[in-house]
Amino acid sequence: MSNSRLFKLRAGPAFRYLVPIFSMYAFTVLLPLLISIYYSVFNEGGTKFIGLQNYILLAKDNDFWFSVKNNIILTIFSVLGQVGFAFLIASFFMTKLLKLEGLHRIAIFLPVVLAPVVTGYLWSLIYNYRMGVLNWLLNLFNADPVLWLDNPNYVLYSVSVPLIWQYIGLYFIIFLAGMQNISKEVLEASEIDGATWFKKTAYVIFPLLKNVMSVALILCITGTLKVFDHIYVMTGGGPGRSSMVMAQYAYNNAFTMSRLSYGSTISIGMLILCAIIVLIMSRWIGGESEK
Amino acid sequence: MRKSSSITVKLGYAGTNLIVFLFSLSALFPIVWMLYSSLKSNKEFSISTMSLPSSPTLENYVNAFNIGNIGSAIFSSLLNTIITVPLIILCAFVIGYFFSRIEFKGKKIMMVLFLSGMMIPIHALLVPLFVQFKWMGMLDTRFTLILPYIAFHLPVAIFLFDSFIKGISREIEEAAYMDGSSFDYTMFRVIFPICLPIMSTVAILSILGTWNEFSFALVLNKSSELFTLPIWLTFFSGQHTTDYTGKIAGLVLTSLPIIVMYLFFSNKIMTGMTAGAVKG
Amino acid sequence: MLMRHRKMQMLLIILLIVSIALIGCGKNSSAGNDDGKAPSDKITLTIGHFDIDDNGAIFRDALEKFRKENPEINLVEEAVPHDPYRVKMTTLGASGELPDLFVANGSMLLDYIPKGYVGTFNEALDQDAEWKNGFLPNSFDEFTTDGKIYGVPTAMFSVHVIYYNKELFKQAGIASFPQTWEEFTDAILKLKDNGLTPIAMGNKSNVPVGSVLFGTLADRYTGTAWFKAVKEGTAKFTDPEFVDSLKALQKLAEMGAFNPDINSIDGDMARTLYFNKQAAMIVDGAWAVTNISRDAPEDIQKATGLAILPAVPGGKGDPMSVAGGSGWSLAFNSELTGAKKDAAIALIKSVSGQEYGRTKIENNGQPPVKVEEYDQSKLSPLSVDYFELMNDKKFSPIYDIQLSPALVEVIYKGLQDLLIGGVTPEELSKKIQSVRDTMK
Repeated sequence: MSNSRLFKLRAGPAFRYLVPIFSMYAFTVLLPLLISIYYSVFNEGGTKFIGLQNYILLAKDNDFWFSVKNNIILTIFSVLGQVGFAFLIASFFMTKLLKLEGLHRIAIFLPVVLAPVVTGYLWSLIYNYRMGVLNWLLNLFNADPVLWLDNPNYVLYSVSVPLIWQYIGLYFIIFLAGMQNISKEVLEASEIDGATWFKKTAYVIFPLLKNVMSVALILCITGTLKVFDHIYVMTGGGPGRSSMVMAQYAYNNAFTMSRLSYGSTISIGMLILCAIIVLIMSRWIGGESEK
Repeated sequence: MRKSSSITVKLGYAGTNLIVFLFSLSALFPIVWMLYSSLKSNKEFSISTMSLPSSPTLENYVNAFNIGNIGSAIFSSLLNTIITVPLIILCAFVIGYFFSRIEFKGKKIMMVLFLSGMMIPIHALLVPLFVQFKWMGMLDTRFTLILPYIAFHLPVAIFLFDSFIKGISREIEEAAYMDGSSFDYTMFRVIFPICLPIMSTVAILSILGTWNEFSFALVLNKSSELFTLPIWLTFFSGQHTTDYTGKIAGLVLTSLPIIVMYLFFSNKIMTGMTAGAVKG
Repeated sequence: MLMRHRKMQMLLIILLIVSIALIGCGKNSSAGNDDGKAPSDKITLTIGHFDIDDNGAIFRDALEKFRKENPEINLVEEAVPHDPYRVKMTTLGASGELPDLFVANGSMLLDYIPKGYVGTFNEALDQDAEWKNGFLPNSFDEFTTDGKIYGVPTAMFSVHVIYYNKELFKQAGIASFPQTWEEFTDAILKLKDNGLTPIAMGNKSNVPVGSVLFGTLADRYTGTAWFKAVKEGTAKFTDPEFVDSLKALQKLAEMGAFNPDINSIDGDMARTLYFNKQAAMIVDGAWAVTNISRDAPEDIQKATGLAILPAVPGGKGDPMSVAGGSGWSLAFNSELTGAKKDAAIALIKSVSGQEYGRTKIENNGQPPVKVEEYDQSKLSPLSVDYFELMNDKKFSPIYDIQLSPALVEVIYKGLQDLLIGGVTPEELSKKIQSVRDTMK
């Protein structure tokens, strides 16, 4: 109790710090967002107020919901691939069995520093039908080459791999940092009790990393829901609409199809959907940890 | 130590090392492949994609330096990053600190406004921001991109600082106040250093975001001397449409500065992230 | 201690990189566009374009020449590659911050004209009869609204040409280019049996198949009258003739006429397949005449013949027509007045007059002007063939220039879907029509 009073009493400087930062943020992010909403309730060209007409159109837009579906699939992959794998690998680092820890750490994190555009282009070369690395490997085993980016049945999986590849390192480092902050005594105690790697990871480390885990999940989910650059470079959402994601769909509408107003509508729709998903997620994570 | 576990330990030892080794390899290989492919001629690349260059050539790089102003592009990218990142850390820390420690009117709303920034698709802001900047006469200057870059990275950075500071015990501040330190002193001199681990994460994310940003750099600036590296890269690949290895050299050139920086600081980053460990 | 140490290191690194950067600047600044600050009495003209690759060399050279001849004009190029250019122009167009001069196609102009951003050329053209009469007939059509001319064409050509390798055709037992649709599909099967890719195309950006192949194919079935009716709203995309053309494209895809990676490579990579004799045909615009004449191996250049799609059974279209016209134009900002406007017009004249046309045609390009006299010997055989091929051909509409961008995107993306079997012709035609219905 006395704590909160102390902090309340000292809230005076709030304005000195909060107001300038917030107004800068409001000018550069919130005001453009408002203008974007304004665009979305006017017709193309901005001559006539049309109310929520665009939003009704969006709710019925088959292609939009298709890209939402793709986004959700990509998000599930990313959560499993990026956060899941990263946690697993980080837990290996806690076993003390590993040689060359430092080098592994550097290697695993390295893809994170590449520009998304670079990753996208690099992987489209790796996926290239005629001279890509993957088909070269298949050829070694006398297997038929695969149309990694052309076949609508697995193009979505193909584009999810570079996403996972690039960002595993980020979550790995976050988890590693978290794990190294767990007190040595707790870990040693569990080792003396004879806990296996699995038991130690699942019952000791994991519960202690709940907070780090939820931060990682939120970062991963919000990041993947608005993924754009990788897809834009590799497929542009194609072939057809098979790897279309929301951000690419909004971009196409605003910039390729000259439908700025509908493009803005998609972006706002995207924001709302993301907010709902994140809200559900954080409720769920929050509820879990309260138990 | 139990005797029965010695075999399992050995197996576990081999297994763990193997798995992590393969994993590192898969992370590293595409980058290594990119590096050595850039030293090949285009002809050699199309004959065999995987082989090491038989006679390494720097021709692709020589070409790269002849196209556009790569020097000024590196300079612009660097300047943007150097100015932006410390400001992001500072602003995000302050906001994160207020959110996690201090009650004030409108805090909830402010939190929602800041954190929803994590979910805004960046292209939605492109046209409106351009219109605003034009109206304010802020287009096409050396510092045009600074403001947007700070603002776009704030939400994630605030989110990270906020969740980190929540884990710091309040007793530390209590003690500082008891010793008679002021609010500012407590915030910047007592709490800020403790945040070193999360600061590294924020710094990495904002450096990468700033260094690699494309769309706003394209639209808000038009003078060629203000172009950043990603813009230079599109020029470069626009002129090398059939030249695979030339393009790859362009990719290497845009990535190399940041790879080198990372390799140089990797240990510092890691110790930064784990140092000053606050036991929750 | 640790902190200070780190700061020092950071400082060192920064110094190192900055000095490298500065060296780079110093080296390149002499080659840069603007040599130092312009004196205040200089007129500054900005021009937005995307001609940064090899094919744009002639255009860039012409700008350079203009710069030399007009030292009082400070010409600033705002050039970025095509895709970023479109994003940039959309954004600039949303607030009227367009460059003084810019390259624009018909649909971009349609976006800008109602907002009053684009100046008209009528007066300038009327004042200079020689310039005006130099242009090919109909070359202004796509940039004219209500009799007002908003753009000067930069080229006039067919977007549909089939480049085929005569040697490979012979090896597959095909004596000459097929004259009927049946012969055409037969030839495709024969080429395929010979282990070749019959037609190589790079459709990653989803424009090539639609623009270069389908526009002409559809016209074979529907005829140009139908297209005009669709634009006016009296015909529909669900009409059987249009569905038939979609079916024809689908059949081509199903019989394996295209390279399997058609949707993940770009046009340049497809051309490489043709250069390597892996593909017997490429379908591309007339601009590929320039590319092939410059980049293809000697034997390929010799073996290449030019053709167009044959007539289709029951088609309403003229089999002698190809999709074509003058896609891109140079336009100027309506805010220009006085000396600045005169300078802009002078610049546009220098890249659309006789002299420029001659340079262009002698470099195997397709200028929008009738070039009175030029050195025929400078033309590549392919270029000569092209002009011969075009002698008796008529232009039919280019979809991506005549239709609104939104409709184009739906059709072209849909064609990608059709090629991979993701949608049936009937479904696609309904989808296209439903988008058409949302427009006035």
